[in-house]
Amino acid sequence: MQHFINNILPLQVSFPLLMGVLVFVIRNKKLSFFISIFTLLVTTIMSLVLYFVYQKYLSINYNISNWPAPWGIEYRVDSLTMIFILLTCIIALVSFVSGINIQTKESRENSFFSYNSAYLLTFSGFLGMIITADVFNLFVFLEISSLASYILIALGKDKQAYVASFNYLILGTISATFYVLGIGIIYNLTGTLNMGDLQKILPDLKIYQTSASLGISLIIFGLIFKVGVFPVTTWMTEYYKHAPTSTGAFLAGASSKVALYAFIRIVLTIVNQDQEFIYSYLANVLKIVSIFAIIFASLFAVYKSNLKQILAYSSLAQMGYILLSITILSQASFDTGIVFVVAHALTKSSLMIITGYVVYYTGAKTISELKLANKYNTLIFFSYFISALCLIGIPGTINFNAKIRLLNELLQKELYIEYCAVILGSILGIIYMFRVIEALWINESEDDDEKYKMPIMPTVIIIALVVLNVMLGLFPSLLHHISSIASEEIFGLIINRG
Amino acid sequence: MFGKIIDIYPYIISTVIMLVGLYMSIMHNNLLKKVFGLIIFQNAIILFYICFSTLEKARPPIFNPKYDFYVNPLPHVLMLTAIVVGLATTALACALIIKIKENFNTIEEGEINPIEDD
Repeated sequence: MQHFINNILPLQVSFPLLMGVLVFVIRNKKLSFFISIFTLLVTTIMSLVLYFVYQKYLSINYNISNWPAPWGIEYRVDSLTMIFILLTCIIALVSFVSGINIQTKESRENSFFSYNSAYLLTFSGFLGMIITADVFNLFVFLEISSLASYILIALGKDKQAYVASFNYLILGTISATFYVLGIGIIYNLTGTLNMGDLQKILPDLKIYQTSASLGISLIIFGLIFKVGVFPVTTWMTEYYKHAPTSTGAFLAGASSKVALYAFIRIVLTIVNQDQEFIYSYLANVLKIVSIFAIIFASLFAVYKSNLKQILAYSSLAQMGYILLSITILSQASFDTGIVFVVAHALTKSSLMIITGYVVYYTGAKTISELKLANKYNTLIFFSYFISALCLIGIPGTINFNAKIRLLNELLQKELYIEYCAVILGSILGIIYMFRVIEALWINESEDDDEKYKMPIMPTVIIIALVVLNVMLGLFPSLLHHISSIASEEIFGLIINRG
Repeated sequence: MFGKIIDIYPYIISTVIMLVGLYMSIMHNNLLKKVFGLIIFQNAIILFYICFSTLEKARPPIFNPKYDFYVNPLPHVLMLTAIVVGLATTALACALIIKIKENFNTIEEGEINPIEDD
């Protein structure tokens, strides 16, 4: 039994990878579609099984080809990994299913097989990035997921999608190459690529500390691009704009989160407290960056009028909250950061799905066009309304819990500028979300006979996402019990070493 | 002084090539040349890995009881992977360029209709 369970770990990554190829080769629409759904379902179920196993052992290891850890590639699951695996699986399944009604109409002709294939490959790349405990293996999965997501974005019907995809490719490849360079320097100094091993060796480098900082800076610089920290994110706002509904929802929910996971892994578990670098330098820089992200991304979101771009800028602002709560570098605030991640993934995916349907049915891409567009049914309005409230963070949603806890943390640490930035960001958040809600409510069109019906599948999914959001908001202990273990694992470890 | 420079010259070369590639991929207007810049940039990294994994008088990593000083094969293996990744990226970028050429009839970045800002 133990043996079987350990084998789930590599299967989690390799199953969607294999199926991704198979789906492309089959050339039978129904079969290909069925296999895609089946793969996503099975992978999600496997992640749930993994969760139950995790609850028993609290950490699961798998050595590829039975090479022991520092020599071979190691797959590893602990609390933080578990949260991100569950999140990625749920977002991937939900986004795929919710887009099926309009996916073929929104994408290019004859792109069905490539869409299914690229979707599964991206998915497996994301899971690989999360599960692996080897920094170079992480790069390989980063590239698998990035290459597949360039294809996903290029499949959007708008011809600007090609340009968006190309720009993403250039920036993505540059950032990944910086990451490899950083790894090269670190490997040169330590002679190991295993994360657990690096964690032991790096603090004892002494005279090579400066070179190690250089390597780590390069790695962080590379990952910052992928996370989507505010100033370097034109590619992100572009792909939000041109990607088809399910692609948009999937990438919005998962891609920056997975990069963020890699970022957290490398900054917080490899680089330790006794390295001055992270405390005196990196945390402060990131704090300033995240304040800028919160304020300016929210301002941009207020001024933009493209529906999807508003969501993109709001994502950037949310990334700012997440980074801010991580860079305070305390156990409680890190816990808050994880709650933010879950909140953002759930709300942003549901908002992207609804916006996708609104754009598809009304043909209105901007707020002013939306005001003039035909009647929309009330269901869409209410689902958007509730998801927007979740994003703003009214009491009873996860975002509210996270924000309150973040504000408390900031007050305790006497960080007043950050406090003001969070408050300002929340107010701007209310403004930009209500601009869209207003446009959805107002109906200035002449003829209101034509009504369209929201298909059942996405409706059910959006309701499920909102219910999940509210449930986790009303009963924070559900999430807290795993996120607190994760933050304890990471920070307890740092304190023990320090 | 001179000996020191001789020791580190591969690193200097790889850094220079890296910067050339980076500059080219960011600043050039022609999409194809951007991709070339990217290739140069990636190859500079490969050169960097090879530089630090070279050992003088070391044997190839094939076991032979007569010798006990081998080159570490891992960086070379890593670079094989990186080369494959670079190949895939280049291929995809070229495919996208073909599509951009078909749709916009140009591959100069400035001539592609500017992305309307809302």
